[in-house]
Formats: sequence, C-alpha cells, structure tokens
Amino acid sequence: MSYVTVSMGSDEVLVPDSKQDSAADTMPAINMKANMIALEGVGKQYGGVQVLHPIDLAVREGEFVTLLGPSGSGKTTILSIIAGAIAPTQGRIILNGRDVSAVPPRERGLGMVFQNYALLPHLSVFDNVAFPLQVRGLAKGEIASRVANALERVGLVGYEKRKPRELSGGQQQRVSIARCIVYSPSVILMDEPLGALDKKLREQLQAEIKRLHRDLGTTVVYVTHDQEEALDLSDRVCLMNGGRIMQVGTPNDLYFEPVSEFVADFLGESNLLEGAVTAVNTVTTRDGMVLGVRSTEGCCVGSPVKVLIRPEKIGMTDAGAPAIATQRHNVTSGKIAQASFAGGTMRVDVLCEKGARLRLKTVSSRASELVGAPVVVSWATSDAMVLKN
Amino acid sequence: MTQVPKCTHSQKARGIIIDRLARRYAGLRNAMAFVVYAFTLLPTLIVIPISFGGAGEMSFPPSNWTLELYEQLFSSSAWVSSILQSTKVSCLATLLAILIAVPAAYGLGRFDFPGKRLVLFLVMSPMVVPVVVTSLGLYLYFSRLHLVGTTIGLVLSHVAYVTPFVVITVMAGVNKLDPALELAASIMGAKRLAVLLKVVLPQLRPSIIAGALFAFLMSFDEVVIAWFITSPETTTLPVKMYTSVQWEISPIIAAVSALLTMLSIVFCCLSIFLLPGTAEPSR
Ligand SMILES: Nc1ncnc2c1ncn2[C@@H]1O[C@H](COP(=O)(O)OP(=O)(O)OP(=O)(O)O)[C@@H](O)[C@H]1O
Ligand SMILES: [Mg+2]
Repeated sequence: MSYVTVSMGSDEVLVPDSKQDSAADTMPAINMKANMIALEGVGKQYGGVQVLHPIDLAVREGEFVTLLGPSGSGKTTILSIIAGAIAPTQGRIILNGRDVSAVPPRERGLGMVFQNYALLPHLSVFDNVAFPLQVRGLAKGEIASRVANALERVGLVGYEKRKPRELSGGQQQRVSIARCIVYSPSVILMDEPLGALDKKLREQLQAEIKRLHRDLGTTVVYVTHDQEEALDLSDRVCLMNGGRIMQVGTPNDLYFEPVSEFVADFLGESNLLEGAVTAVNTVTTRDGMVLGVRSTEGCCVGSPVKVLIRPEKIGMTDAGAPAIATQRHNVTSGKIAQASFAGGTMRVDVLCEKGARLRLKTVSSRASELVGAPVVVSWATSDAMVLKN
Repeated sequence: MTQVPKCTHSQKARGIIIDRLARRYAGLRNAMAFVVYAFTLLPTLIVIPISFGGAGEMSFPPSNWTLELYEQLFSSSAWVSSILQSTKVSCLATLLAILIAVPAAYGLGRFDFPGKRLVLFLVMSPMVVPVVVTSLGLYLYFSRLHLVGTTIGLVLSHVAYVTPFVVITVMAGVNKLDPALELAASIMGAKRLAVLLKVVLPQLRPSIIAGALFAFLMSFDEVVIAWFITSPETTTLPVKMYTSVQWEISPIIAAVSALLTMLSIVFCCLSIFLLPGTAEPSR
C-alpha cells in the first residue's frame, strides 16, 4: 500500500504529505500540488451558538482528507459549508483557486455521497447514475457509455433496471458512488457513507473507496467517526472536537505525534502518565518513576506534563531475564494485574512497582498462567512522548 | 434483577389475554362496523337499484328493471348541459387549483420565510369560513366585477374553495420528501427548475393525483357557491338537481344520484388503487 511514512518533527499543519510507494519515497516536496479546497477562517453560528469555531483547512488536489471526531463536533457542518448547503457565518471558501463563498451548490462542481444514499426513489439505477449527465445536457450515447463505465467500476453491471428500493444498502451506496464518479467532479464529499452498513460490508466498501480514489485521483473529503476507517483511508486526518480542529496530519502524525491528550486518547489506546519535567528529556511521574522521554523541548523544568506511551511500544520480559536499562530505554519491574485475550494479541495490564498501571500488547500466550507473574517492562525513550498540559 | 423478568412476564400475559379477547370478539367488532357502515351507506346506495326502475315510478325494489331513467336523463338537454357544465367547471377548477396549490405547498412545506404563518393562514382561510358566508361574499364581490352568472366566475370561486384542501394534501407529501435528495440534485449540477421537475414533482405525483381527485369531486358536488354564482345558462349538475327537487320530484333524479355516487366510488377506488406511492411504506 502506498502509505505515508512518518516524517518526524514536522509540526506544521499543512505539510505536503508524501503519498507514494516506498520505492518512490524520495522527494515529497516535488509532489507539492495546488490547494483544491481552502477554508479560510470559516465558522458557523446557530442562534448565537458557535458550533464551528473559525477554522483554516486546506486540501490539496488528489488528496484524501478525513474529518474525524465525536458526534456533534462539526464534521457535517464543514462538509455542508464546502458543498454550499449551508452558508458560513464567517470566512471564505476557496475551491480550485476561486472564492465560491457566494456560489450556489450546483455551480461548485462537487460530488457528494450521503449516509442514507439520497438516491431518487422513482428512477432506476441507470437513470439515477445518468442524472448528473442529463442535467449537463450530454448526448444519449455518451451518457450510456459513461453510466456503464461507472457502474462497472462499482461492480453493479446488470442492475441498471432496478429501482433503489430493490437493492441492499451496500448496493445503494455503490449506486450513489457511481452517480458521483460518473461526472468526474473535482472534489467528492462523503458524509459517513458507510455509517448505515454492517461491519463486513463496511470493510468491503472501504477497500473499494480506497481503490477508486487511487484509480481516479479525485480529491476526497470524507467524514467519519470511526477512527480505523479514517486511519486506513486517509492521506491526512483532521481531528475535530467541539467545533474546533484538534490536529491535522497524516494518520502516522496523529497516532505517533499527538499534540494533545484528546488526540492521543481518540486514536488507539494510550498509556498516559502524569508527571513533571525534572531535567532535559527526563520526566518524573507522580509516583516517582523517572522516565527518559523523547524530547522536553519547549517545557521548563517543573512544568506539569503527561507522558504518552502506546501499548504496542512496550516490551515485556520475564522477571528473571536481564533487564538492560540504558539511556535509550526505560525499564521497570512489576506484576501482571490483568490479561485479556483478544485473539492473536493480548492486552496485558502491568502494575509497576511504583504503582503506575501500564497497558501493553503482546503476542498471545495462555492468559491464566500470566496473572500475578512478576515481569520486567521496557520501552524506548523515543517512544515516550511528552504532552503539555 | 428478579423484578424485571416478572414484570415482562405479566405484561406478556396481559398482552396474550388482550389478544385472546380481541380474537374472540373480532367477529362482533366486524359485525358492528358493518352495521354502522351499512346504516350510513345504504340510503346512498339504494338510489342505484331505484335508478334502474321504470320511468313512472320511484320505488324500492323496482318492479321492473330498465334503463328508461337513464335514457330520459341523457335525452334531456337541460340535464346533459348541466352535466357538461359541471364537468367543465370541475376540470378547470381542479387544473387551476393544482397549479396554485402545488407550488404553494412546496414553498410552505419546504422553506421558512418571514410571514409564513400568515400566508399559511390566508391559504387555509376558505376552510374556516362557512361556505354560505363565502358564497355571499363571492356573490357581492363578483357582481361588482360582472362575474356572477359566468362560468369563469364559478371556476374562480371553486378554485378558492378547493385549493386549501389540495394544499393540505400536497403539503403532507412535501413533508415526507427527503430534503437531502434536492440537495444532492443541486450539488450534482441541477438547476432549480430541473430539481423541481425531475426530483420534487415525480415524488409528489401520488399526493398531487390524490389532491386532484379530491378537488374534482369537491367541485363537482358543490352546490352552495354554485347556487349563488350560476345563472340559468351556467347551471351545474348539483344546482340543477337541487332545483328539480324543489319543484317536482322527477325519478330522473335517482339516475343522476346513482351516477354521482358511482363517480365518487370510482374516484375513491382510483385514489386507493392507482396511486403506487401511497400504499408503500414511506422511507
Ligand atoms: N440547523 C441547526 N441548528 C442548530 N444547531 C445545529 C444545526 N445543525 C447542527 N447544529 C449543531 O452543530 C453541531 C455540529 O453538528 P454537526 O452535524 O456538524 O456534527 P457532526 O460532527 O456531523 O456529528 P455526527 O457525527 O453526529 O454527524 C451540533 O452540536 C449540532 O447540534
Ligand atoms: Mg454528521
């Protein structure tokens, strides 16, 4: 998969991301593309309540950006503002270099996929997909061939004559995706397109959306509150909470370089240890553990911080084995407090000698033998991130 | 913990008992419903057999079955012209009412604008005012405009009379529309007119047809306004029936009533069976 490699230390929000195979992973800067969408200070109020605080967000051509966040965080609001369905209270929307703040939806040249499909119930699959071409006044033959092509791309050949209500949810969503790609809009907006489908179908369609994006190279703004979906699909993720952007970055950035506790907590599992900076690259936790951390840049000695360690970064060895604590490793001993079996991996909670409780992930072994066993846990100091309070 | 299953048990038990009672008395319930309907419907339906009686009689059951009354009816130019006049007025009134009511219902049902309640009230007001009062008002107003006694005057009056009902019917349809479809269409590049013609109207078709059938029947049956507004040259069928009952009870009236009743029944059946959208569960 062409996935983005982590570029450490790039804190800039709008860094061009390198979306290429590792073979071609040489010079990301060359691939710098123009902004397809730029939101400049866009905000929305409803009756005096600021549901979207003024935000800046740029999406580059061909990029797949996901708006991720809990319910009510303003994801749909942003999408609707881009689509032109609602007018922002403040700010400008630039689409493809043009200020479209005052342009009606039909002239913005976008495509949109809705959670509940929004297919026209009285039209057949063919006519639904043909609709955007018909309103553009294309010739019949041209329409027929483009519709056939779009239906083929979503694997719905042979369903042309059916009505939407004669299709399953997954098939209806495929029709609505076909209806979107058939007129090659410059940007496709998707608002929880998989929200109404069951897990298996969701994964299947997720893979299809990913493939379509790779094949077509369209700019996509995608909304979901499912973090796995976001991490899998996106070039960049924009994590929202309470009408504000919490962090924008590649899935790797967000996972490994979260800027706040909210981000760390929202994506994946995390161990957060409270403490204070006691020396350069050293944090002492509340219960007295002295930890080496990756960097304390920007923190003064004594400032309260939290240390983030991802469970899968923590290694565990038997108490008997030699534990080599180095400058680059934090090591502590403890006892297994709990172990839960999750198939191939297992979650283990270790109660450290100083009282901290750490969760880690290991390859499974027989859980019953483990609980209570003394162990040594260790992790690289570079995997211990400091989050400022 | 233990309360919960108990509770559902007793609820279930009660449900079962009610079910059983319902089943036991289902026959009784149906019989009563039948009696009530029969009681209200029979006087209406009884004109149908009567209308097939002989020319000189008006009795039930008819002593001999003929089509004489219908022959008389259709050979009387006064009756035929009133039927034609009624048909013309109802068709025109329905057409105009639909043209006014559909955009009004869409606008009122879909958008919010200042003064919406006032507009809604104005549109609905003909329903609130007693028909006699409306008729008198129309009569006084139209006599100034020299519209009394004209077909166009009656058509306009009937438009005012039926439009609120069509607005209500179509607005119910508009409220069931998913606004996301219109948004989707406009994002796909459809202009307002295209959205209206290709997205909104096709989905509203069942409600519009229902409203039209309703409007036609209302106008066709309407007697009070027509009584005020028509002249002898523009008499509609109900007015003709009313006058004919006043002066002489001709058995022809049985044939006319039978025809009217059948028209109503046919329209009701049409609106129930011919509308694909109404029988389906709304999505
Ligand atoms: N028409 C409206 N009037 C008032 N408040 C609104 C309106 N539409 C949305 N809001 C509020 O704006 C906030 C953001 O809504 P939005 O639909 O963007 O959330 P979301 O992130 O899409 O959530 P979800 O994941 O549940 O879809 C919510 O608190 C919501 O209550
Ligand atoms: Mg939403």
